Amino acid sequence: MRQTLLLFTTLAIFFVLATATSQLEPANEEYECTVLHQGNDIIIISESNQNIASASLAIVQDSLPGVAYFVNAYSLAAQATDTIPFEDFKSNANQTFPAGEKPTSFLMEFISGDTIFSKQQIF
Amino acid sequence: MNKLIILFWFSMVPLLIGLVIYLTIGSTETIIYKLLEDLLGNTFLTHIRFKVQLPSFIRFHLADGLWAFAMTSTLCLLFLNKIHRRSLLIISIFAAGAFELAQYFGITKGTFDLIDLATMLVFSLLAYFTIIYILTQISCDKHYYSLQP
Repeated sequence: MRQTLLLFTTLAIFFVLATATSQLEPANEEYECTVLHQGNDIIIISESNQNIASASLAIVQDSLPGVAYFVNAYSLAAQATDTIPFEDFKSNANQTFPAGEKPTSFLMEFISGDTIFSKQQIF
Repeated sequence: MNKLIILFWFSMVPLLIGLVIYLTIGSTETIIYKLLEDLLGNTFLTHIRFKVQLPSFIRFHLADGLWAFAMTSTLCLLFLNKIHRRSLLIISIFAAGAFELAQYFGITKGTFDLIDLATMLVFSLLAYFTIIYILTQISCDKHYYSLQP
């Protein structure tokens, strides 16, 4: 009994040591910016010191359930402002955002280092 | 040779070398790195990090092998005459592989890697046969000296 306890304690100590060297989960942080839609454009005003690189942008229109329109590999410098026309957003079927419609929500996601930055906006 | 001295050289030293590998050339996003960063400060840890690119085996697999080596050595030193040798070998190899398999099944964090698994098995076997050899030598020496007038 004593031997079994000692065996499991030894194994537990080594497993704790191994766990201490495990990679941490990437942190999630909200990207600080203001997102507006004006006419047929989305405007992103960065309030962050973080450069956006290889971001994925998506807009959704509630009247078109199950369809999202994306811009991939999007980049924007820290504290910069950018205007993205709706026509740059493409669905998986390569269709552009319907003319005359307005998006109801916006989602941005990108990874920098070990942090996933995201911004969700309901218009 | 005292068992404690063997334990120091075959368990503590490999673990310390593994820790140095993790801190100097490993990822900075590990629990141990973040813990020591809080304790010692970022400046010290940044200062000791290697600026040269070492071979991938040293960077990614050696620390795991040393961990398996230390664990098998400790198990052998503690249980060699208390558990059957064959069972001890099976427990050592199973325990060394279990952590890697736990990553494969998502029980622990990390990525399953076949080279890691192979390195651990080789280092476990190396530790097992080395410790058995050393303990057998010590036992023979003791027996020899006990026969001296």
